[in-house]
Amino acid sequence: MSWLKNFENESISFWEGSGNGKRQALYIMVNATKGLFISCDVPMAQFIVSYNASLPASQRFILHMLDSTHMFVQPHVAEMIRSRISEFRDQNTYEKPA
Amino acid sequence: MAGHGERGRSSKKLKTVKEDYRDDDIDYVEDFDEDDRGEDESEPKKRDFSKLELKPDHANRPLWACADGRIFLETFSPLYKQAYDFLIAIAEPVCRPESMHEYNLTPHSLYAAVSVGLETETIITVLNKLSKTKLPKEMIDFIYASTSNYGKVKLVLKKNRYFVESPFTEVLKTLLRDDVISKARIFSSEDAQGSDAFTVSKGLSEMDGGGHQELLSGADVAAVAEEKETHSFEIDPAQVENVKQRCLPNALNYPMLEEYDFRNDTVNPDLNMELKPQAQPRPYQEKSLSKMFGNGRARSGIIVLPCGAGKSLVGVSAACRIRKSCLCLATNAVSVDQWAFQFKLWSTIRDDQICRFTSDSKERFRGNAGVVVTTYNMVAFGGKRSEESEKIIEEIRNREWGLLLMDEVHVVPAHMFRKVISITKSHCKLGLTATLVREDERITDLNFLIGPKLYEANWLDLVKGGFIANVQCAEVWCPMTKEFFAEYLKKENSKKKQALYVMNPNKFRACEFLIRFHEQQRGDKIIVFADNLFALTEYAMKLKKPMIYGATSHNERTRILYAFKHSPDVNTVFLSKVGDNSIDIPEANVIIQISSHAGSRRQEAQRLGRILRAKGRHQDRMAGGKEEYNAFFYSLVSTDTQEMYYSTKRQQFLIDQGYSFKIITSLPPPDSGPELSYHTLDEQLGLLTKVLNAGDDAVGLEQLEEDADDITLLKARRFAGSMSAMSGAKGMVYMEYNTGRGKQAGHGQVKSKPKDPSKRHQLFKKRYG
Repeated sequence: MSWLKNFENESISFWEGSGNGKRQALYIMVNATKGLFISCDVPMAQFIVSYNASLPASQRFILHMLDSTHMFVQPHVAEMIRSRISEFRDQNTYEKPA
Repeated sequence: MAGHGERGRSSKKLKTVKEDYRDDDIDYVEDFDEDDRGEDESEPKKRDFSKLELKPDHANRPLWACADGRIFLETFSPLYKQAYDFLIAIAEPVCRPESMHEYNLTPHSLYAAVSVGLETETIITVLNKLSKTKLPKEMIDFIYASTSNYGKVKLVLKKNRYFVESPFTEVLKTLLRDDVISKARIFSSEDAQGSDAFTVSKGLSEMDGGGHQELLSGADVAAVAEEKETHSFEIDPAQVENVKQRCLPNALNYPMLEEYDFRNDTVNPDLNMELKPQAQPRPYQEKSLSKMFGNGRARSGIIVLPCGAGKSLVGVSAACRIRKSCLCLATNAVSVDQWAFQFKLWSTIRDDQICRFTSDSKERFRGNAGVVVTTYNMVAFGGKRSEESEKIIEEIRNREWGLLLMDEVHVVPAHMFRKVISITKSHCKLGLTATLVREDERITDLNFLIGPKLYEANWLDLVKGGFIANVQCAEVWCPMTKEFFAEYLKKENSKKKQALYVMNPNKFRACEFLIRFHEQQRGDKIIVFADNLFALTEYAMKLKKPMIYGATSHNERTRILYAFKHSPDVNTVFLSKVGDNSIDIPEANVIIQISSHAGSRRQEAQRLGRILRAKGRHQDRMAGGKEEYNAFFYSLVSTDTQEMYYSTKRQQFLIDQGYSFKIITSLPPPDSGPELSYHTLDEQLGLLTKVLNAGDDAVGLEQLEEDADDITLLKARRFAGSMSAMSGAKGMVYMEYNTGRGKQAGHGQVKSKPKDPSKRHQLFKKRYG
């Protein structure tokens, strides 16, 4: 599926020094999060949003809703979303009984 | 192996019944394996018939016969026409696309074959002639096994006496060994009193063999045409039902064929009517009638013709051939009027010989023979009737009908049929339908209640012949808008799902676009179907078009339909599911379907039937004529919703008839702007609020009193079976309607039910007119 793309922005390094939580920002304050960039059509985006909303707050995975067809989510949810969507699509597909 | 099982059982008498069954199962499976090992080694889906022997001249032969009873027919073969006529008589069509047809041999289809006069040997010889391969042994065995007992016994009503007739004395002897039947036997005076003597008469040989016999060599024909002697004994009319029951496959297994020797019926008065000279039956109508009257007698059975192909002419012709009193049953008052009209149009029947019997018009015919047109409900009605209708019903009950003509047999529930058939005494029953499918699998009941299927036309052949319109079917995919889909997914809106996907603004725009296109560019007449009343009203109001639904009064309906037919300003009409069956609108040639009754294949076919009646000049419609397509059938579907599921399912029947659905994804065209409604987000949101604020009842399906197929019942059943992929939520949507209906029945049904003006009391009728 082409709409799931791994998007790693970890490589940008803004940090100096290391260890023990004593990080210090040098230039600007930037939050870097590893995640997944999803691009899909409008209804599927709504489907993912509603799935996200149905979960308890601790399990919600959408980090940013970029626009109506793009979003940025936590990296580990790809499989889960895939299976959810295929389940949803199965429900709407009729197969002729053999 | 069988012997072994037997021993095991006798030595251990305590063994449970269940285990015995298992023994038998094993026997069966092993026997089966020996017969065709190659076939069920792997999963049954991959059937391998490569070991079948090809005949050297296979290229000239049109069909493939497989060991599992399936037959494939090449429609491009020069022998196609003959092969089709033969196959439709012996096998059930499964799927009939343009170049290759699939058929299935079933016990029922073979029963039908035997009942139209084909004999086991003929079936096998002709099949062998047509097949590219040597007939598989399994198929020959199957045909023998299924037909050995069928068609051997006939029940004939002659001069109001019932006779059991058979060319084989041994069969009659077997029957007489049965208690019930031997008790029912009547010894007539001219017969010898000995139990072995049967009345012997010369049988009429088949006359309709026509096409099939051409295929046989001379020697075979001689064997077929040889004159047969028939033996018969008389039975007590009061016992007929019991005798018939004893002969069914679950008892003696000699299913009886019913025939009516109407030419020799001197007891029932003749009805003086004939087909008018301008009534020219088309070739396929002729063919279906020849199946019915093949040997000079009238057979009971069902004739399947597509909507608009002229079923009524077949019915009227049958009545004209029998020339006895005829009871014609239709589904509702409108079609009663239409049938009466058809009788007057095609035949020379006098006005005083035909009468309609509905809640509105209770006519009675004078004279001793005539045609009565009424509805199933009127005959089967169990409650109290008015004195007047009680009298008419009594007359119907007491009369002996030459022909019981039943329209739209697929919609009537089995129990109502039983009732109708038990009330009316008829010599011959003819069922007519376009779609022999039901969502509950009760269609096979018709085999025994009416009779076997006598003829089924191939839709595509009729299209090619220009007898019915050539329809372009299309499924228009409309994506849901963001806001509507978000609401669609919410759990609390589960009851409104349907309203949400029907009111999808993209769908509305597509619908508006199509209406404009066909009205302005092609000058077509358009019907828009919506089962959902809320959507029907919203669409019709917004687009300012007339609409007809269950509660529309008869007057208004007539007015709207008249305007639709004659006025150049009214080119579009919105119909709820009242328009599915019986409203006859020959002018329309475009259908746009915005919502439908779940996955009903029957409804889809019936709706298509509204535009199938051929229009324009005949030569333009023939293959290669001026207009390739002259009718259009659009189904608007909101993607990513349940509608996709239903839509595919609904199309199955038409696909099996050889239709293909084109999928259109770009409607309305992307450059269309505010000229179509709901262009701006504000308008769309306004619509959404309207949908969400409407009560749950308002957005549900329209409940008509007669719900054609009991699809709700099936729903529950289907879940258990192959439809495991369906979610529970869908079932709940259904349950919702169900309970709603139950509640209605509970408290004050009268209040909430839209008044049907045809059922209004006589006293008030004048006032509301």
